[in-house]
Amino acid sequence: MNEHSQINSRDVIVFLFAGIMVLGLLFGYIMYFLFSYRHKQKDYRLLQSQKEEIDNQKILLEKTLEELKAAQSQLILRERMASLGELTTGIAHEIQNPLNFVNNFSDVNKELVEELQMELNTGNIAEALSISNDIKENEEKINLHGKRADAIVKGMLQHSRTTAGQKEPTDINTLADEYLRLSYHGFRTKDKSFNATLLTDFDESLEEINIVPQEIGRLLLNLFNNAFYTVIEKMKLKGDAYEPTISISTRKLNNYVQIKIRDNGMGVPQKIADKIFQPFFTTKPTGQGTGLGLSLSYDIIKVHGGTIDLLTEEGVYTEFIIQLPI
Amino acid sequence: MFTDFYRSFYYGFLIIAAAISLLYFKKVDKTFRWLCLLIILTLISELTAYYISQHHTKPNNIVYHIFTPVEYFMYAMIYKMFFDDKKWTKILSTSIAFLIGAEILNTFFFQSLEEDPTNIMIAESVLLVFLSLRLFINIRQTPVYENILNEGVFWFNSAVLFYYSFDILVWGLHHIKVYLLKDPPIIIYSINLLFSGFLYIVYAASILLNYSSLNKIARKG
Repeated sequence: MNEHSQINSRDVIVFLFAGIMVLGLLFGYIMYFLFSYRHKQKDYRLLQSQKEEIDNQKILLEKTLEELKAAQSQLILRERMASLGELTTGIAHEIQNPLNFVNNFSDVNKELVEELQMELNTGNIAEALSISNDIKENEEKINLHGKRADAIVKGMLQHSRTTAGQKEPTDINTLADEYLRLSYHGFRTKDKSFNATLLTDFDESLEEINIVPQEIGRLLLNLFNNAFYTVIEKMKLKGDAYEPTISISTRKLNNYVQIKIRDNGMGVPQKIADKIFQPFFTTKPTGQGTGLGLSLSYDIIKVHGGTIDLLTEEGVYTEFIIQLPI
Repeated sequence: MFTDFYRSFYYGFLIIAAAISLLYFKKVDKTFRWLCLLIILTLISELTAYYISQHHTKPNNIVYHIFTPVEYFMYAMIYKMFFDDKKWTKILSTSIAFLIGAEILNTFFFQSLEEDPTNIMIAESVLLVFLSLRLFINIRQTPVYENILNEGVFWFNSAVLFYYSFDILVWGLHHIKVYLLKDPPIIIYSINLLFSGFLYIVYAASILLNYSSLNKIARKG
């Protein structure tokens, strides 16, 4: 019992000492915590005010970005309208052909109907039947050319549409040929004396590929317009000795379609070759180009998962090589 | 009922804390509701232990075998809400599972239902000291409180840190040894009772501070 008591009192002393030590340490820790908390609080408040400032700046930047996006949309729309304007003369020419057919055949039909009435009055049924067949054939031609005009107008509407179109199987040869002619006629309407050699080399084995036709059409139109613009500029410099030539070729390669558009115009100087796809970059005089044509073309190609490359030699030629995945 | 001063001090403060918990249960935020529940549950367990000691010949240690994991669960819920982080929810869930598993193993192999589960109490205390220190670090990293001394979380966490550090000392270093003695030094238990009384009254104060903070926020709109 005595031994127990000795252990007992020593334990109590140790316990109390250890207890005081622990309490002291904890008290010290709490004091340190309070001190460092105050210190951190100052930093935190500063950080918070900076964060608020950054948040305000962020809101301001977001607003500016919204405004920029709106301005960009407006510019893109303007670019589309500008290209539509360039397209208009070509379209007018394209519509004129079917309209001529429609007018001519309807005039012919008018005369044939009069003849038919005369033959019926005289009782010449066999001749009347023959005339009616002619009328029928003419009507079919009128219908065909009416549809052609309808397709041109629809294409024009698609071109000016602001919303993104849907991908659909498209014959790239037909599309390229159509836009080449539209662009050419557009330039010819402005300058009747302008003539260029158009070379087409379409790969007939090419099947329809999935693209947004109005977008790719817009891209081709941009490239053709640039090609015609540059050959006209060169023509002004070189005169009659120069023969402007625009060529287009299509090829089916492994998993993609390659479209090459080449002109023998002014070419692109090497120092600006890297910049031509940048928005608002243009070599045309003020008011003649928005600088968005090639930039939008680049975006269109990217959206389609393709590539667009430039080969050029200043004063000799410019060639755009487009690759679209099948 | 409680003859000596220390016991009366402890039970008196525990009853006051439980009364405050009942009164303010709906007026404090979710974290402190868990604290209210913990205090009320502690009172119930202490009364049960007292009842068993008075009316049964068997020791009342079984109450502590059950209550210790339950108590830790409550604390874990409180800390889960303070940390408000998926990683810490996982850590806390694991620690609850660990403590329950340890309690079962301890009962079977080391300290039966007729002995105090001091091993589990030590484990619980170590975990709580760790959580408390961690919460202090978290609070310091994002010092959002205007005056930390007016915040319930500070006083609650300080009380946990002080009490359970001391508890490790009581139960860990000496209780096992003292327990074996024929004439254990009662001062250790008396100090522990004093500390327990202070713990619950600080908990009650932190509940009131939380209520006051919520009121201030509500007034500010």
